[in-house]
Amino acid sequence: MKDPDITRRDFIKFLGAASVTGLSSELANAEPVDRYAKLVNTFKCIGCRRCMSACKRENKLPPYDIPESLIRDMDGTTYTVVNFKKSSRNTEFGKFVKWQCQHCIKPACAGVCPVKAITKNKITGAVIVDETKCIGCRYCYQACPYKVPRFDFAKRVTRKCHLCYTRLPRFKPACVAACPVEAIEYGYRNLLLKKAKQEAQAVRGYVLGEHEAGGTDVLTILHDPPQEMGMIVAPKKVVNQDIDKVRITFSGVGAAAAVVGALYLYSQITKDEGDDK
Amino acid sequence: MISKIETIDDKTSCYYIGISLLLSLMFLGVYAAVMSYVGSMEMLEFHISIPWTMMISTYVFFVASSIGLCIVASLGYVFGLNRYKIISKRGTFLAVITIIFGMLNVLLHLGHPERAPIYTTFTPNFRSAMWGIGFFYNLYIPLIMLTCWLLIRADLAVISENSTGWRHKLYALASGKKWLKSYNLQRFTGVIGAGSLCFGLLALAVEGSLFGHVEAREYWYGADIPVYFIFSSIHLGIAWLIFMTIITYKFKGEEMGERLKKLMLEMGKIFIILLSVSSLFITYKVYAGSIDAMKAKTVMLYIKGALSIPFWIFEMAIGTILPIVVLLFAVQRESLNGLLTAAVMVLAGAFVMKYDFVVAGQVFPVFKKAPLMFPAFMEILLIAGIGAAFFSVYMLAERFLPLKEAN
Repeated sequence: MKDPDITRRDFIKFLGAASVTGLSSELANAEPVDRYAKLVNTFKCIGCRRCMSACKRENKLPPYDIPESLIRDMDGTTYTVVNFKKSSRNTEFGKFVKWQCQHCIKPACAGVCPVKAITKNKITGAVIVDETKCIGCRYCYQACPYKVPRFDFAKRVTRKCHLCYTRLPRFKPACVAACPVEAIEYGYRNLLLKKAKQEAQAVRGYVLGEHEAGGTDVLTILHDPPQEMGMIVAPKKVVNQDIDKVRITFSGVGAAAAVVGALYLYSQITKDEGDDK
Repeated sequence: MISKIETIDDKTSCYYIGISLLLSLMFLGVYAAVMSYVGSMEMLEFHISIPWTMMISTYVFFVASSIGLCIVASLGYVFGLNRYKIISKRGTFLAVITIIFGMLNVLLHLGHPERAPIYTTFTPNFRSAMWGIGFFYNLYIPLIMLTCWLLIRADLAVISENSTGWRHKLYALASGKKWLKSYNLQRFTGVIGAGSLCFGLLALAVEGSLFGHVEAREYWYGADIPVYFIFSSIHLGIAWLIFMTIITYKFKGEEMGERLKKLMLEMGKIFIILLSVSSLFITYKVYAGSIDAMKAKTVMLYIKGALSIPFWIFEMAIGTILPIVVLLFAVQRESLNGLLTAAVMVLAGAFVMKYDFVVAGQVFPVFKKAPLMFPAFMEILLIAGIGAAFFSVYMLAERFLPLKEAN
């Protein structure tokens, strides 16, 4: 039955117009406008570490042992840490930086997990590890550009921040709710990004997560780029793209074919009279 | 000329010391495995931020060895070279046990190995190289086992005919003559062997890709890793065959037949070529890595950093250059001892090389300065136990299975 509202000609006209105006590519690459994300503003953070405690409480994780060096690192039972970081550009001042899973828009960890134990929720932004499925191979840790997923030696699975996905989107993640100075926010990504850019511009800061690893659903306003802050630097593109994986695997398949060819040639060249045909 | 050391049947003190050593190591390995389950797996790692260490490198070493052995053995039953048929049985049997003990390493390293077969079947991730490895090894392992069985079943039937009682029944059962009457299955063995060769090579290609895919690990990332994995497996296969064949004859105090000796020397010549090409690859790896901004820091660990001793002494000197020199002399003087020495050196060098490769790739960007990269004590015990179990299984097979070459 013919659709009375839109004809094939109208649709082709629309496509033509859209391609001229660049709308089709926009549409193809468009993120859902209602995508959620988290914004961490290090300029507001006072370093009280309530977010760490709230995370522990919410996820029923054991208390954190304060390390001797006072530099906190994530582990299987610590999903987020706050460390005092100084920039190499300006060593006089420093900022408290909250660090956690950056919830990449296209997570490398999910791409390498052999059992699909890691999934990405495109609306809430959460990258979640299914602990009942995880086989504990730690390939996700290797693939993560930020080295976030950590192995819990007691449960023998990989664990990390899941953005308190059971609370979302009705309630905020526990760390967001616990922050006394609203240094952590949770909301629509496009709005948070706009706000982050404005605030970063005002203080000559840097928005981490806009382009890193192809974009992440955790945005952090830093006072300098991550390399100046002594943080792990992720490439400004999607990490572990599938086409790249195919290219690398086929180099090995090509080598395998070459070996079979070489064996055949060797067998033909060195064949004796009594050998099988 | 092979010098007689001890025969297994003599059961001399050397024999008992050897058996006691293997049993002790196996006991310690079991102790480490049990402790890692009862206690914490953390005891198997020297640093929490370097989760893949000796168990993964030993796994890579064993599986690459298995495919290498399969490649060399296939020259006889797949490519029809009669002179290689005499080592087919030992080669395929070694391929079977190396892959099994290799897999044991990775199973003990997994947090929940029992979930792996379930979820890789029901929720597979085709984008993951790790899934691909599991898929291809699941095809390779049964096929190489079947190939091995097809190669030895005629001899099993002969043993059955020449024995009585339970021994007769057991070997008759093992030969499968009740179900498969014909022993002239060369073509079928060739087809199954070709299948195992293809799937083995594909598995190893994907194994290399497992590391090559990881863009976040700059040292591993790239298309050259799968190629190197495939290539290096061949000289590992030759090294294992030379080592196990010569050492078996020495321990049994038997004289090696002229055909077998000739083949060993032929493999020695191929070995020289492969090692020479391997040295070029190492040179390329170091040079290309040192001018690549992404890999330079890790390559510097090899050249003058924490891994300089393992690299220069084990990888370069013991694993590549000295064996070439020894092999040149051994082939010229037809010395089996020389071949054996070179094979041992290459195996030792390759083992260290795999460890360095796996560990070095994980240092940056996590660490500013490389930590001491020596494996944890419990992990060493576990690997020693697995190694001892591997040699024990081989000794038992040598005693009860017809692996001996027809002279």
